[in-house]
Amino acid sequence: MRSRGLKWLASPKLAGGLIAALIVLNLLNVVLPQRTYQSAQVMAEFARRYPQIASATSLLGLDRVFSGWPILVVSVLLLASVLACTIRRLARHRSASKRPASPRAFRRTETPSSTQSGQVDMLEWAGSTLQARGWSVESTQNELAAWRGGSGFWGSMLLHVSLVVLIIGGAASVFTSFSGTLALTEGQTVIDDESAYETVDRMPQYGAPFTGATLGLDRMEFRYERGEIVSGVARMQAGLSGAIPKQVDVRVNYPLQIAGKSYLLRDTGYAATIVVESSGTVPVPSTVALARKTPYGWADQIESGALSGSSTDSATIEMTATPVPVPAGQVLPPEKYLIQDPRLEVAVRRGGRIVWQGVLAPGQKAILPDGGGVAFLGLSLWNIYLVRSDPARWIIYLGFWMSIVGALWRFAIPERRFVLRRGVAGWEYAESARPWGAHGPGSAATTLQLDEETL
Amino acid sequence: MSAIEIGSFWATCALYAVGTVFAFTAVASGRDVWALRALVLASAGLVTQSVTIIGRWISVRHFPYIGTYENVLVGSWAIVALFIVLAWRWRGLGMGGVLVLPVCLLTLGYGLTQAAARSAVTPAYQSGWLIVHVTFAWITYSAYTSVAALAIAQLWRDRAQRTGREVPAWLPTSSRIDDLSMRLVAFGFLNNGVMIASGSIWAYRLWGAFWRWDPVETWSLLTWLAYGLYMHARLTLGWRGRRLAWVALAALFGVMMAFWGVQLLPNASFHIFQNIGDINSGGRMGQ
Repeated sequence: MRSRGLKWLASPKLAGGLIAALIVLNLLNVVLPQRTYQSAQVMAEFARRYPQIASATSLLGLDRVFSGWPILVVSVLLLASVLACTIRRLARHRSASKRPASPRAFRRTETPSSTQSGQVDMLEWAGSTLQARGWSVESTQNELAAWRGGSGFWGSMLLHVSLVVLIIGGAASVFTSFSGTLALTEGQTVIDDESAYETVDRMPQYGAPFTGATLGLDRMEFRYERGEIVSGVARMQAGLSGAIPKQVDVRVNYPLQIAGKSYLLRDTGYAATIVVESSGTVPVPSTVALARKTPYGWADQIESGALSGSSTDSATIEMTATPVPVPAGQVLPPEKYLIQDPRLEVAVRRGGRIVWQGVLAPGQKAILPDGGGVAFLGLSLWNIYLVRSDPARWIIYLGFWMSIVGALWRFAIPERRFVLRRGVAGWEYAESARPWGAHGPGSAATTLQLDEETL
Repeated sequence: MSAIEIGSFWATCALYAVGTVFAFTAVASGRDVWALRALVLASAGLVTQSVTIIGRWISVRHFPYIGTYENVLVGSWAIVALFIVLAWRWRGLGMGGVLVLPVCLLTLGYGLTQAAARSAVTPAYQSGWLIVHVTFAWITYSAYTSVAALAIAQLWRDRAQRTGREVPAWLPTSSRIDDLSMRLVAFGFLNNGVMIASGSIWAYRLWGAFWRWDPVETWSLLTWLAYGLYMHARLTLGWRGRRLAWVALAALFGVMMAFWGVQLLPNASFHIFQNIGDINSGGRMGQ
């Protein structure tokens, strides 16, 4: 019963079935919106358009095929299948005799005439020739068996074990990975702890999520060609907890790596430094990261209790920043991150009514009718970083490279077998090679140049 | 596109189109001369396609690997190049052009519909791992497509034998085709592994995730597993000839889906090449 179960687990048919299951899952992955990488808006829109399908999909877990039960079932079965296959092959390899079984089919025969003494000479000659070429040889009175390339078996084993490593790495990643977003404005420094993060999307179940590392953004530098960004570098300072921060340049594809975390540059926008002045308060500059990107500039609004004055309604300051003066109704230039002559369009509302509106250059101030004002000091840039920690990815990378080395090893060292024997009508030989056919220049027949003249 | 690029592009398409017709004629008539003509035209098309690539390289000032158009331009070149090497070495395999040439023709046509104005190499594309990934992808898909071309030759031979027709002497034997297919599958399998590994490393550095079960990623993994199954079918189950040929053609479906199929669906993949050029969209999800 146990060996039947193992045989079924190790069968290529099960492997084929699992691949078919993965194909079906991937088709569902394409056709149905997935929570793994679609936004909440997209999911809501799908539910609005197809409520019954969305409901059924959610109930069956088909809106997360690669992060829910479907992939779990397939992965567990695939792991079991590969393990069973590997164990069976190892057991067969260990119990197989040193002298391999003859190739299953004698593909060619040569039947030259020969004398009795020629038969002994033939086996001796063939054996010594093959041994000189690195073959292992065993011979009896009437037969010679030779083999080489047995180590190629271990290449195949390495390839199969790599699949196990990949699945284990994937599972480990679920429990140890961290994901969050963090914002930094030019001139700002933060410590990597929970308060520094805009969002924390995934907390590891094992390992500390926050490192206490120091991160600072000095400035952003951009270079454009033909209206497109060709270089965007974040000049940063970063250091481990308690250590002196060092200068490091961060760009897309080259994240900041510190304390086991990767800080990937994801987005950039404007931050306006303003001073809100009112009677009875000390004016202090504050930098406001403008979060909303529009074709006309970066925009945002803040509540200001200081500007409420005698009104019970709080005042709102609406801002739209541009890197250069942009005429009303026109869009930003392509080089939107080159802040050369910034402007800040300001609208101050009190009780829903605009009390002041205009465009400020750096150093200019909006003076409100009943006193108070908003001064614009300048623009800077903010960055959003995707922060990731995934120690298990090294297991995955190891698995990939194991599969490549294993496959290379298996293909580079084919397992060859050769048998030469005295048949009824004369000499016969046959050979096999795994994984290639037995026709190549490395074959024993070619080595021995078995033909009428030789024999 | 520059004048040289446009001219050589259309010349390539014309040569591949006529080559396709000749390849089909070779299959229908069983005459080697038509397969040879198809091969000559395909070779000429490869030369003009090389001119197209060089023209594009000069006009955009970087090797063309960005965006759908550039990828299909170089990818289809790699497919035809490997096929031509095999077909000139083993002349009878020229009939595989019935698959290779139409596939490349359709791919080039699709790429043309996606052709964008020349663009600079934006930050998302500035990665050595990306170059490794794309290079091994081209090699992988050219190997797998050649296997499918060999499968066509195998099926044609098998059909001729089963219907009692004379099998031309210029067509390689079934075991020779099987052996060559196995070597190409192994070659493709290795390159496929490097493609996936390097893509995974690049994806982590760009998007913060080495694997997102993105449709293109999953299809490429399935393709890798499918060709692994091909090797198992040959070595463990002892499949040969026609059966194995059908496995090769079915596995090519994965290749087509990974490169082509997913591109046709909106927002289905991070690999929609034209969306990863802007620093602000390098990794945003659900946009």
